[in-house]
Amino acid sequence: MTHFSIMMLLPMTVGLPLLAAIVSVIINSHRWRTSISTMFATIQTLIVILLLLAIPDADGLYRYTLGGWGAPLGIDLVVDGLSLILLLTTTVLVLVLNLYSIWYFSDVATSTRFWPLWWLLVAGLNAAFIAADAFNIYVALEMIGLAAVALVALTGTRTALVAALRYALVGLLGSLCYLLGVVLLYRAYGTLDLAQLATQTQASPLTGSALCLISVGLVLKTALFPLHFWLPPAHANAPAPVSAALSALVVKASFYLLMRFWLDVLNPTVTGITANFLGVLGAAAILWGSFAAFRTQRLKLLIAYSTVAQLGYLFMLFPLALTGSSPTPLSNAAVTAVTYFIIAHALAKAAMFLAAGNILASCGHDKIDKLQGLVCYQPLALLTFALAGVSLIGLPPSGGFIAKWLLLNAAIENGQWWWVVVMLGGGLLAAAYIGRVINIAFSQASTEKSTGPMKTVPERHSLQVNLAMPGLALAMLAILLGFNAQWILNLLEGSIELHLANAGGVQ
Amino acid sequence: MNLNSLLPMLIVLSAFIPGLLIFCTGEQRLWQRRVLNLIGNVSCLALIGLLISGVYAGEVFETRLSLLPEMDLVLHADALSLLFVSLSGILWLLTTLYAIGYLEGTENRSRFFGFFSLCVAATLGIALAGNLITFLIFYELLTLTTYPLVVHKGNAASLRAGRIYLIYTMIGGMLLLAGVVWLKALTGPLDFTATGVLSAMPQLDPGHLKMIFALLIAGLGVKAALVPLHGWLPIAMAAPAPVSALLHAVAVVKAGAFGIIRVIYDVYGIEFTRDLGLTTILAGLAAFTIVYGSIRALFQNDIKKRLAYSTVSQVSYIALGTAIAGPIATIGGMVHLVHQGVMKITLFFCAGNFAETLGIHKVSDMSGVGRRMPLTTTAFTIAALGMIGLPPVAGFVSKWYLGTGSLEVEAYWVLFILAASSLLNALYFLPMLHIAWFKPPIDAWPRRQHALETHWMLLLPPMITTALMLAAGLFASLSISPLSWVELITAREYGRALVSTMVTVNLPLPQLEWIVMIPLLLMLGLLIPTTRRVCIRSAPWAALPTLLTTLFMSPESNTLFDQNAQIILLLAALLWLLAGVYGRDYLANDKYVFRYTLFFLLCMSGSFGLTVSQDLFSFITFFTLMSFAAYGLIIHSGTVKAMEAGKTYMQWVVIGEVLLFVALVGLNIHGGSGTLADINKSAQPFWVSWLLLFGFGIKAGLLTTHFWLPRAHPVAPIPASALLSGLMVKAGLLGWWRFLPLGEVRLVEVGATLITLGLGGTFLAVIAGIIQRNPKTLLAYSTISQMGILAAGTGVGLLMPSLWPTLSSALLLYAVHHALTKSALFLSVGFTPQLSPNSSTRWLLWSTIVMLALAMVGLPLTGGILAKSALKNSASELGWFTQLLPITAIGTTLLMLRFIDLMQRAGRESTVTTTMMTTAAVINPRFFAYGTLVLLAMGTVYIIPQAKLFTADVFSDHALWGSFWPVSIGILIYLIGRTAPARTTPVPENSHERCDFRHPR
Repeated sequence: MTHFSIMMLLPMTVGLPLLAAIVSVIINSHRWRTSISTMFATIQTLIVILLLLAIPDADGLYRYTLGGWGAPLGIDLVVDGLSLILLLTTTVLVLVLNLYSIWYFSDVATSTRFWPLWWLLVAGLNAAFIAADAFNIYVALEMIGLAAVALVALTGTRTALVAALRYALVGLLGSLCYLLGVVLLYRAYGTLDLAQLATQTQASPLTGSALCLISVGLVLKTALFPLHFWLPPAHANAPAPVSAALSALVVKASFYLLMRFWLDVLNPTVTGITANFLGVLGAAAILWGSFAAFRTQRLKLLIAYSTVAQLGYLFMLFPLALTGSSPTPLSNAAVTAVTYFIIAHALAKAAMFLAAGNILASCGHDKIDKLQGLVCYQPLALLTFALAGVSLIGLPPSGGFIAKWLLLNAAIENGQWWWVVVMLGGGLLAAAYIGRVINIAFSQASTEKSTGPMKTVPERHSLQVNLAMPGLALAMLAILLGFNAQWILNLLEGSIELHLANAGGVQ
Repeated sequence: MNLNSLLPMLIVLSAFIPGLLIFCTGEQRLWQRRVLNLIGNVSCLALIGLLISGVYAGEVFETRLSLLPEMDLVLHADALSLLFVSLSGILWLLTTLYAIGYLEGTENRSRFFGFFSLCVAATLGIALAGNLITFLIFYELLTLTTYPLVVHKGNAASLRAGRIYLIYTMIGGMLLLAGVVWLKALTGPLDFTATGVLSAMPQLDPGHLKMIFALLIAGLGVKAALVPLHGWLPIAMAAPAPVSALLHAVAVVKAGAFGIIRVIYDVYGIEFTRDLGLTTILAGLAAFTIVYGSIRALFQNDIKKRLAYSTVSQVSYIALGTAIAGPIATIGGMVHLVHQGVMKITLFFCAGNFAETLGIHKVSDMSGVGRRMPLTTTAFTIAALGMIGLPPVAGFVSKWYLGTGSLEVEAYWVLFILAASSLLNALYFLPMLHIAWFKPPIDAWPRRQHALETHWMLLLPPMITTALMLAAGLFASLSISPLSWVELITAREYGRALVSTMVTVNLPLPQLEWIVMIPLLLMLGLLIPTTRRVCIRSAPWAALPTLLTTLFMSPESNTLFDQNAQIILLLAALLWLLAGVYGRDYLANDKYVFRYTLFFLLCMSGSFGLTVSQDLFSFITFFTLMSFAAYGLIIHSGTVKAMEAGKTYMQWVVIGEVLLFVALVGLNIHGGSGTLADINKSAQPFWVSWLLLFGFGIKAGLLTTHFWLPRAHPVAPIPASALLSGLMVKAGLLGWWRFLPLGEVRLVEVGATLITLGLGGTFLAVIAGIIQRNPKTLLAYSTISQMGILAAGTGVGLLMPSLWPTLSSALLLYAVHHALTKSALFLSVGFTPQLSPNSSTRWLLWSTIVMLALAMVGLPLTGGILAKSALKNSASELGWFTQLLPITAIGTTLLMLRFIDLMQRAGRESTVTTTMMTTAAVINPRFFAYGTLVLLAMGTVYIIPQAKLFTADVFSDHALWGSFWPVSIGILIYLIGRTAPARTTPVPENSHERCDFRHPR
């Protein structure tokens, strides 16, 4: 009975953000809008925490049927350890970014446009994590896509608009591909409920092409190399909190879905070659993304390219989980590793974008070569950047280290040492591009320092501690994640394949 | 959680939390920051103290924090970690103090001290890490926290340094990570255990393990600066001095070395590593690094860079000791972890002081810095000497154990590496010391800003570390010394109790300790301005207690202290006293009398000490002390000639030290340790005898190693020459007698060589000496000649052990006779003005000189005849040797005649003031000392106990005739030769280095 009442909270994770979006359109006062947003963000975090607490052993799959309609017609929501963790990451990040945005969008005009879109994005994200059927996922993806595009275009500069437009087109293309795949699935199995699909799927050309289409769509949205071309401009030109959310959460949503389809729902059609193919693309992403990040001249672009590289690590999952000997892919060590990676990266990357936002705001530019002396007038932003960098490089003690450790471990245990080389090399490249920024930041601007433009600019724009704190908190969280990984691993034990858990669902 | 499980964590936090708090302090909150630092330092040390006492009591301290399943963050205190933890804790305190003084008034200090504390926290974490993963975590943390310190200055050089540092350490970290992950996948949790994790798992694939080992060592080698992974270290010198000090002494470099120890001993297990064949490769790499680093250091003019390359070289001692894989070598390696830390931090403190106070960054700019900053330069000197491996500084102990350990496992090549490294170290450190102490300053120094030579916070830390490293060397056998601690660790690793190879034996009589201490105490008094004058005046009397003790000590009262030694000690005391009295008068108006007295006292202490020392360590310590301090006497006059002579002297001394080091190490491992009397000398392998032969031969002026002698002896002030020629050369002789298996084993080759070289020297030195124009040079050659006879006599002892009991007494007589006579002759040179024809005292002086000359050639009724006939009688079984002895007397006669001639000429040419011509000029302490010595030279030989054996023979007709005819022939030859118009040019004193004057500095 307790489960029943707790599960009632599940639809609220989607409902609350939608409500918040509407409310923030209606309310006109900046102060009220922000306080209500904060309240909503807090409440949804609490809800997710409650849900987490309610599933202490996490030995089942929890399902909520909206309005009692049930599959295949109604809207079902489903949650397990994996999706709950991603939900938690999302809500926590949303809360922190929410606080940051309050101070970041202090100007009313932007603020009016920002908040509704922001909440729409959150609703889409939450929906994508808990949707139980393929079509609802499509809806969630569209919500995310539209809101994200609009948010990228928020600043209204020319480059931002171009980037947003490109992002929109890519997003639409991806969604269409996905939709096409879903249609094929429906043609083959007559249902869109993931759990039902999971039990019925057999390897067939039709299912294969469906998987192919779905994968192309989702990979496009996840920006896997070489389909990453849209990501750097979009992420680099958005406002800081938006960049953070895009890099930390949005790409992860589509990756999560990819994971679900490959490892679980459409698993029988997956072959070792295709899995390895994704792995190779991931490796290429690591190397190319890092290299591009090293070459780029702008800080935010660097961080965006870093996202491309880091996403490459996620795709190590497929060769490691699917070509190994493990019979149940979802409880595989590689899944644990990748999930951990997602969380660590989300925290670190969001922190990094916030730091970059502060640097951009205080210097008026984000050209890396001109960031000399940053350590003296933006120490907190630099500290945030460095801590997040530690996690991205995968240095201990940090969440990134644990994640990388788990991945390396999985690779070695599977005997696939070549991925080890790539991952370690990627770490070095990450160290190179992050070290480059920090090195310049530590230098004293020898001539500028005395004449003073660098010194006066930060004084004028001297940012409040308020703006520095959210990023720092996230970076610290990314580091602290390295100290106790156990509870997350316990939760992940409960990620259950849908086809196994079909019967055990709780209404 | 009780205290035991919290303590290791608390130690790390005691550095970590202050670090975080310091970040939050405002830039101007000077005292807040200092208090935070201090609290951190003190609480850290207190906790370490608690930990040590706990571990002694056998308690287990372990903090365990679960990160992942089968992956714990473990902080564990074992003996090895305690070693490193205490080193870090103590040096952290000192470096913080130093850094506060160093960075006074600069920017960004909160940042600096924050990262500084974090860096120490990471080091403490490394020290306490209980498994490889924890080690890895703190290892990477260390990289991150040191980076901001390296780039602290923010200029182009330090940014470059930071970048290169990051590149190297990141790659190293990745390699280490790869190794750790791989190993973890193979074996599970990697807790450090005493005998290694892996040796207990035989089913593992050795190929994999080798590759993992390579990864781990490569990762650790980056921080330990193993060639070719050392590139970052010299460049990282761009950091501020306290950072360099900490980086080199404790934090980064040592973390790597410590990691190597951990991997070999606690992960792989030493025997397993050896079975895998990995130790040899590592040892080779380390050896290469040692030599390579030293060679690179030679060519650096930047002080800090030179020190950096020195670190590259020195840190590899640790890896070498570990990789040699014998218990004793392990001790040497591990103890070097501490010793090198203390010494190197001192060097960097001093380099920082030079830079901060006087703006000196280059070696060539160090000219005269010793006079402006004596304390700092003294600290630098002692540390540098320790780096070379000279006793009694801590560095010697490490080298000694490394040497003995390598012999224990029969890795002879390691001895070559150690010897080469010592030589190279001497080559790059000694010139620095020379420049600092003995060269005049280039420009006027900047004005003093402090009461002391620099800020007290900059001065105190190097003083303390200097005291520490001296203590670590001198009291190495105490149970609280690093050495004993390391022996404990090693015993645990090898699972058995070890025999300590360095035994220091307390002298049997307390007054014998005092005779060594009194000169040193006076020397200390010399350093204090208020007592300086008194000390200079009373310097000669420091020998008086020795004299009295030796005179009134009954030889039977103890067994350790043999009769020969007693005579030599008596001789030494007499000579030091008389030469000292002479010198005080002679140098009364000298500008540098302070410096002279300083080295005089040091030499005196060394001379007494080596005579009374009862163990190898003390012997070599005092031998070294005497040899090095004599340098100061030789170059006293400061002329180009003296400098060149000093340089030659130093080169030979260093070569001698190295040869002796190797020889004594060999003696130790084959003959056992303990008192000198206990050492089994007959067990020494042939190469030890050869090395002893030449090592001490250098000191004794043996032909082929004598080149320094005719250059160095004449340039010193007269009393110093007398001591050098009369007494100090005898140290070489004493060395032979002490360590060669005389009277025990027949060593034909060594004995024959000694005889050949000895007699060869005897004759050739006559030829070289007779054409000299400087009486002092002539006397120096005469010394070579006489020492040749003594050497040949020793050689006879080696050749015919049965002769040794009587022979030794005869040689002793001869040595005493020569010492007294030669010193007196040298002192007589000081009276040249009084020898002028119009001086009223000239007859008195001439009579003494002639008496000395007669004694030297061994005419009847002088001491010389006793010495010579004793030698002849005791070697009577060796016919040809006794035949040759009279012929040497011809040579001696020629030299003495020439000496009288030269003195006469010098007296004639000297300009005489009226005061010198009066009798009053003779009634002064100088003449008194000389006169006493002359009298002693005449008769002393007859009254020493050993003479009883031979006195009967002296008055036989045979002996009288035997002493008479060579002298007659000598006089004849000389008179003939003198009439011939000899227009030969004298053999230059620097016969072996003719072109040396091209670059006078």
